[in-house]
Amino acid sequence: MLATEARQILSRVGSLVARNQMRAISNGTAQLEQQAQPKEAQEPQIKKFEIYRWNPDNAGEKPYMQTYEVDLRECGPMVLDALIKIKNEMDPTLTFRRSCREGICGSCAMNIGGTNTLACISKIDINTSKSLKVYPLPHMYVVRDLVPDMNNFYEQYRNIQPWLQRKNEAGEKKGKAQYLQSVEDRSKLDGLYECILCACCSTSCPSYWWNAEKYLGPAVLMQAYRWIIDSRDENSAERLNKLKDPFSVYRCHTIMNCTRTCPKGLNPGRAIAEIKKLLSGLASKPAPKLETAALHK
Amino acid sequence: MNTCRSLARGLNICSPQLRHLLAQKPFNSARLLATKAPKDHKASGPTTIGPSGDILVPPVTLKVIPFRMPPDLPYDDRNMLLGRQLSPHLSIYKIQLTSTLSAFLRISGFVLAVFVWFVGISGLCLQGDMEGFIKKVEKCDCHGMVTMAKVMVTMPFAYHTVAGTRHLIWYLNKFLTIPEIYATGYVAVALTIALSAFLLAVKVGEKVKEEVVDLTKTKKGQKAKKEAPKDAKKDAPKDTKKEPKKDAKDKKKDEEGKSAK
Repeated sequence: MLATEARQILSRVGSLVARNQMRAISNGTAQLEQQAQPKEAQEPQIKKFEIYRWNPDNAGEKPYMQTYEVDLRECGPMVLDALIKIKNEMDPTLTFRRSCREGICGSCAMNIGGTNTLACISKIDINTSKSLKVYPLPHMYVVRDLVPDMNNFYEQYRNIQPWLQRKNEAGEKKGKAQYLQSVEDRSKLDGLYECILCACCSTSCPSYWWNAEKYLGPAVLMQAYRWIIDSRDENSAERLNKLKDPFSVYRCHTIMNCTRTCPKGLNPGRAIAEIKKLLSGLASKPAPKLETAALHK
Repeated sequence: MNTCRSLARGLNICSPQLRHLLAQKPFNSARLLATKAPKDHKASGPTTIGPSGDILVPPVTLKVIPFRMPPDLPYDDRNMLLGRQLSPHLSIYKIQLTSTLSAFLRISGFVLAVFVWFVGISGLCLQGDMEGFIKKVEKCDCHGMVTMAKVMVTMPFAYHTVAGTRHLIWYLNKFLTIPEIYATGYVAVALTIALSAFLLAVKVGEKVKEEVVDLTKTKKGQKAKKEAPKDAKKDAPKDTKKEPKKDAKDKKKDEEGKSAK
């Protein structure tokens, strides 16, 4: 145990050192480029950003598109870099959500150039003849500018009870020991647990636009499948029973906009197809390959 | 739900207090900056001494009010009461192969349904029988219209068949990654064009066969008639005899074509 922990710590330190070295190298190259050519000699690369604006405090005002011009030579390569630059230097009233800037938190989800994606991992198109259009997530109530109201999405996620549920909870004291899971059973969760709940896939689904109250949407259904297929969870039958109504799952018409637009490269469409197979009886959940509660006895 | 929404829309204009309650904002607007106040004013919060030695009054006045539970409204009604805008969706989203093929599947189903209902209802409403209609079609020399009608039926039928099969394959969780979806999408479009062309070509082939059969019949008829009548007959009776034969051929062709439909 100590040896493995030491190895993990060493690998993490090594990766951190490598990152710092990479940053130093990249900074060095940037400085070299700046020294090679003076700033006056470089032509400014002006890109237009058309951003959706709406302020709830101005009663009766309709949404409009406001155009900002950003010099790409003085801006980072991602759309979020441009938005932050606009907010810092041009228009402090521009409002959007952002947090990690690395595609992990899912806060900066918006519609960029016609598709839903994260602003922090969406590269700016350097074609300066076209303007880049930025909208909030489609068919969502707008709190302000690029901030949608995500309460319906979170409520639907809460409804699928996204936590591990066991039947013999009294006999298995929480925190006492681990629930065992084989490598094969664990591999079924790959491509499912990485969901960052950004709602890009749900708000790209036309069926979710029309039935947002009852249809759970691809993101929530993928997480429902994640807990159904988990070999450590013993509540799969009840979870499937909650989805047996005409709206929760069957409003999905396999349009596949969700998989097309997922910024993390996940496949909600496949997860929903598997849920339909489980609901119709074509497939059934296999038994765990390891005795899950062996360490609790 | 509908009445509740109309009520919500009405309330949106009438009651700003309800809007503030839903937004869970304080009624009193807070002063953003500390200001010098007269000495008689009693501050409710801690006072501080400014850099020049003056006494600064805190910007916020605290007040105790009883708690009010915000009304439990559904998501849509709550947002409509707050007067929020719904973000654009169809007008801004990019047209992609995934959504386009799905939309065309629905459109083709709609076209086929309309066609079936049209044929059924026309049977109820129109006067006359099918043969009369067929004769009218024969007299009307409008091959372009007939061809267009055929294309408008075969194309939706072919696409609905191919895309429906593709969807049934998806229910088995096959070909559900994006490269496979695009590959099967292009294959579906190609198969649709091939199948509709085949359906149009088959009818043409049948017509050719019909002509062959009719030619043999006409030859036999001519031989029999030549033997029976005398050689001395005039040209005029021959012309009159030929016309009804052609009419019979046309009738057979149209009947078989429509039965194929």
